[in-house]
Amino acid sequence: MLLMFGASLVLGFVSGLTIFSQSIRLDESQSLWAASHTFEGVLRFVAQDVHTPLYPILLHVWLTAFGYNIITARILSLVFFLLSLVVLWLVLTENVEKRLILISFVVVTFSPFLVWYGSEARMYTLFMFFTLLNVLFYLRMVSQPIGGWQKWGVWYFLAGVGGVYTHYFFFLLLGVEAMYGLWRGISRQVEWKWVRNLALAQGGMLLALSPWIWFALKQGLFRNMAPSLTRPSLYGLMVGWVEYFIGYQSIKMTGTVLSLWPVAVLGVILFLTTWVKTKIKHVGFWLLWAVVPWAVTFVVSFWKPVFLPRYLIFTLPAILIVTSWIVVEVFRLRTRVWVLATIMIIMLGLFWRESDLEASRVVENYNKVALALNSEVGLTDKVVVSSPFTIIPLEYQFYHPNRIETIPKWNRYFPGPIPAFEMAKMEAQINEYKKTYTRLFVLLSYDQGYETKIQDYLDHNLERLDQKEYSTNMKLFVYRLRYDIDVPHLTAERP
Amino acid sequence: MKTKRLVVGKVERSWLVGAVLVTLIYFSWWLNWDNGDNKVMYGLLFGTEVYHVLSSLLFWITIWPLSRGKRKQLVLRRELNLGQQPSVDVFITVAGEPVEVVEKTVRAARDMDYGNHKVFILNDGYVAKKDNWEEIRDLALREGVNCITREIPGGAKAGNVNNGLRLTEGEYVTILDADMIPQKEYLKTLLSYFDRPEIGFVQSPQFYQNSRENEVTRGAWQQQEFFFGPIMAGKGQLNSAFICGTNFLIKREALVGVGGLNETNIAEDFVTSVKVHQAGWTSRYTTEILAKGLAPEDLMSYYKQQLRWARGSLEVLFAQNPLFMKGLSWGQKWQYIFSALYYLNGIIVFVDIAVPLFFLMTGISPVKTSSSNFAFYFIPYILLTFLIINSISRGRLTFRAISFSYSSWWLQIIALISVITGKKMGFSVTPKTKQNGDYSALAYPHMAYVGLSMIGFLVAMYREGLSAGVVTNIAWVSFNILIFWPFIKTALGWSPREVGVPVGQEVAVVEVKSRNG
Repeated sequence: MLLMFGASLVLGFVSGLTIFSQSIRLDESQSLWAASHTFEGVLRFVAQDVHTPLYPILLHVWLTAFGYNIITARILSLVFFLLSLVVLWLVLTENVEKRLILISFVVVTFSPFLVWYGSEARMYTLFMFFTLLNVLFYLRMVSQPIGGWQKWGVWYFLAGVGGVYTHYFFFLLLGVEAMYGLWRGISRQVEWKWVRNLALAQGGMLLALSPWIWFALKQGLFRNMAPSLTRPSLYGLMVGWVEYFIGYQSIKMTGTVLSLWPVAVLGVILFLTTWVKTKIKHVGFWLLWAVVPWAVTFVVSFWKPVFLPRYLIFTLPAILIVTSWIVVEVFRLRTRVWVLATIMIIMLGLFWRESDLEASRVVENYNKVALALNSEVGLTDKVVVSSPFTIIPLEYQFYHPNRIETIPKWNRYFPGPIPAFEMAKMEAQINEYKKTYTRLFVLLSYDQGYETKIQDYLDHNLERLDQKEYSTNMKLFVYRLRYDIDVPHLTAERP
Repeated sequence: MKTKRLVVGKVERSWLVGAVLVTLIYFSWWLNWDNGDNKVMYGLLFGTEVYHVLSSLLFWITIWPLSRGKRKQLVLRRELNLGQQPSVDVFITVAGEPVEVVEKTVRAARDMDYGNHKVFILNDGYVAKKDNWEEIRDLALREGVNCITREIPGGAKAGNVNNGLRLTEGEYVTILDADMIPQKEYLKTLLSYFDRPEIGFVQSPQFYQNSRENEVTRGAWQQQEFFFGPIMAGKGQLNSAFICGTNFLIKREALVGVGGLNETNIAEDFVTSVKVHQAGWTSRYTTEILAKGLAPEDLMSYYKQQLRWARGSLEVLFAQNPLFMKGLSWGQKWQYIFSALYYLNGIIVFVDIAVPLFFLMTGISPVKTSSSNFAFYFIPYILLTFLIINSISRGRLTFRAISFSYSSWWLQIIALISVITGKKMGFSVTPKTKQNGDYSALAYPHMAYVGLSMIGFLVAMYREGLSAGVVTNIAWVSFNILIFWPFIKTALGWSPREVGVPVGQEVAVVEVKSRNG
């Protein structure tokens, strides 16, 4: 308990630093934007997005109560992160031998991947919270086949409903639970009545989500708001796994760690040929939990791309706990202060690298772009962004009177999806700007499949005056629109 | 009566089917020739993979009868009708082993719980020019057993046994190495397995009672345990169990019918088994531990034992290949090949460890696709293989055993060269006591590999920096070094760290109840 308290304090401090220091990110701005609507508006907005409504609704309430800003929004994630740790502790103490509890707790808690989302205004810590809560009750019922359903069934169901209303991928966890339950039924470790109860509970969860599904379908599910995902490669799959261990590091570092996979395989072989002293209850479930969602998502992505490592964050505890188990057994690690301290230092070091504004490949420095634009943009300049939804984080700190526009043009205040990109419409849009403005500032920071077309068109039809890269894949271009008026001098300062 | 037996775990049939699938999927990666960069190196690796895949498939087939639902009883619960006790000759083969070692075996053999057996010490000390051959003769007189001392050499252990066969007449013959102390119920138990007339011989495990003595005995035993556990149990159920030199009982008719033990090969037991099976006899295997012997206690003794086995098995593969022999079923042919193939491991491991080193030194790569692509095919294959091994051996195949096996590559290459060049190797009995000496030389090839890897690393870093290719090949080199590590430590006499099966859990105890008594 002392460790948990200490870990929470350290995490609170670390996350606090990030919460206050980091620029608003695209995904966060969307969370804020969604939560800024009325209650009904939130539902309509989310219905057109790829997500479920619980987090935006909670965020809406939270921001209404404590103030509409990114820091307040991030604190909500931190709250669920810390609550998840409490549930994680319970899951570990009930299912894992003492020898492994502290080490695996520290590994999961300080995982740079998880800490990253612990301070991001997104639904992932809420997702983690419901995952762990659901698993806690599920494993209690598995361990107590007789009487377990009476004691924990309702809680299992409620945690499940919370989960499915937080993220569609929660169904993958339910699938894993069903598989393991079915296997226990077939191998007669639980009665068929137990399996039937599980099926009923999970069916109930689906039923509980059905009103939302109906509403979302009616609104036009995934209408141009979904991120454009490509089919995953095997490399992408393995990078995803590596990220769970080291967080979002530079491509070179991630590639280097990934290339060391034969040593990891040898570690597993060593584990399989070692007399295992520490036991994990229901280890089959943990293995399924760690592997099956990845496999399913990967395969499904060849039909419809849905693979994003962060969507699978609910598998992170299983992956890291099983890995900790292997490491503890192979190296015969004992729970000593220096072991825990070393793990903590390594993990926090990785998180520090991950958050480094200059080096990170995931930090989106919209703040810096907005500040630069605030000082450089004149009254005869126009600012446009693409993809359209990147307008939201940029606007968060853009104070210039000239309104930012998007390519393709999108009116957020008008219900409906983002319009599709059309070259002719873009040409007309640029020609329109030529009538009024002298320079065009174009921020390209999220490719929805037409970024290159935009850049090619502008490069071929306008004179490029300047170009700056503020963070990975976040480029600001400046073009001259007309020659009858002198353009203002660009500031010499570079980001 | 209570006896101990070796542990043989169970495995789900679905796992084996899955293993076959992932093995074939893995092999399909190698069949895609476009993956190759330097075709010569790719071809070499392809050859090693054919070996790995073939060995894996044969392993799945071997343990298939042990899978859940398919498995027959490994221990036969039948009691011999004591009214019909066939005569048994017990041969104890001796060639210079210490008298105190032989004495224990002789006494235990004489005092076995069976009424119709004669004990013969087959004393080869005289022809082997051992100092203690007379002491052995005196021992026989003192203990009231027979002693047959050869005066004309030839045929090594097989010649000694065949000489004994000519001078005895029991209906059954059992052979015990000088250190193999039989249990009281040894004969009764083995005879109880002859429940059908076509059964020619029954083999039981070679248990090492000194398995906890040191790193070498542990490593040797852990290798043996896997062989005499799941592998031989599987072979037994496929009518492909073969004679392992000691602890077996054979019908005289079967043995004499094939001309006695084969004298042309130092793996006389292996070749004789082939001939007995060819003659139409069947074989059985029991996991019950009925005799306890001694593992080689030092690395040099281990080395000599392995070299002899490797030489014998490779000779079978090259000169008397069971695949082309008549009278064997296809199952038996492949099972014999499976056993002999193991000793080709040397050349395979050599190629596997040399390729990443070659890349580090020269920058020439065997493959051009990304390592993560290969990992996708390789990881399920290797992990499922070890998961099944873990399950079927109930976690008893330790990393040390794998290390000893993997590290034997160069002695297996020596054996292979001697077979190819036709150079003869003498039969030398594995010493039964610890030989003193510095055996670090046995790990020189492995240490040289470590040294070359470090040089290779520096060369590669100078050439191309820490590129993905360099990191991957460093990982493979580290993979090899980590496997060699327990062997190197043992050779250098460094203090070990026990990570294997805890003391007292080496074998499971099973109570054998009679079916009719």
